[in-house]
Amino acid sequence: MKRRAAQWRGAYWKNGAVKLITRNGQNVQQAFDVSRDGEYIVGQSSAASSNNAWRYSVAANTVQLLGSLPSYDNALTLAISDDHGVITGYTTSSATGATSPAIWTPGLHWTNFNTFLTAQGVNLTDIYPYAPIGDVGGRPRHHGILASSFGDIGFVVKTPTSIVCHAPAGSPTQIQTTVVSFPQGLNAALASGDTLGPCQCGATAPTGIPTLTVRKQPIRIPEMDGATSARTPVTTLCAEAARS
Amino acid sequence: MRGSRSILSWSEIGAATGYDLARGSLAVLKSSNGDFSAATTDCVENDLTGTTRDDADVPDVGDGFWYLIRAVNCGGSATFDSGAPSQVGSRDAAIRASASACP
Repeated sequence: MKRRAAQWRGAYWKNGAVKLITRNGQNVQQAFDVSRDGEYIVGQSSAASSNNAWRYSVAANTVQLLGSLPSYDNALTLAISDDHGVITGYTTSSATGATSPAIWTPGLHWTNFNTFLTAQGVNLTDIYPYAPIGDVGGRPRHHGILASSFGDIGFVVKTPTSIVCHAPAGSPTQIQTTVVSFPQGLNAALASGDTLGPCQCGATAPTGIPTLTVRKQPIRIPEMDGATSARTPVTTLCAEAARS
Repeated sequence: MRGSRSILSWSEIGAATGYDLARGSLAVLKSSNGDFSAATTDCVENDLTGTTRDDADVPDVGDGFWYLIRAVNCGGSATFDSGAPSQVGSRDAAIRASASACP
């Protein structure tokens, strides 16, 4: 007697009925978490999702592909924030067996969580976060498991802000490391062309010396008849005195 | 000159993305024989992108302000020195040693 291999399928229960989650007529892999309001469900990648992690909108009945990392062909979305805007999980490679934690926001897309942390200045020497399992109460906190020289230990990452390299509009060379809120500020910054992490400077320090000029604004003194007139001060500050 | 603001402007440096503007007391600078670590009172601007700045502050009676400007970019800062051979010693180290130095 032949037995068929078991298949995991993403499904959800609503109003007493179970519904399968499909994309292009194919069943997606199993679901792992649902947002607090029940509007979004996240789950595991499969051929039906082109090996992408996915986020399903119950209201729109659509599966959104979250992206994938190069050389990784499997992704698990383990947790979604209350506002649907932050998703965490991990991604694996069937070829190499490598596993990497991952995070998604609309601006970050599906990103290696280690890359994200490193860009924020976190030193990951001798530690390796894996399988971040989501946030608490919709706040940007990521719980998970941390492999380190001390063994596997739990961790919490609090990310109220993010560091980006900002280039003002019209001034692409005037890059400046900037702190923005997470995740809304980060999403907006990345959408406007900023990059994750501090600015990397390839320039050398300027050597020129600006020529400074200081002048006094004329004082307007009320006249007896209510009119005003401008009078130049009889004394001026001498900036050059300190420059020579 | 009380009630009269100072209008500062400076020439643009090509490689600069901003400017640091330091200020201090002329009286202290004179009494300390040119010690900028003692005479620096303010970092008026740090990484200001423009080339003008109004200063509404006024010095105490009998005193005056000196101002120094330097160009900066992501690679670092230029100098507060004038580049003139008549200058005795570098101002940069002294201003950096001041509690009010630009970062």
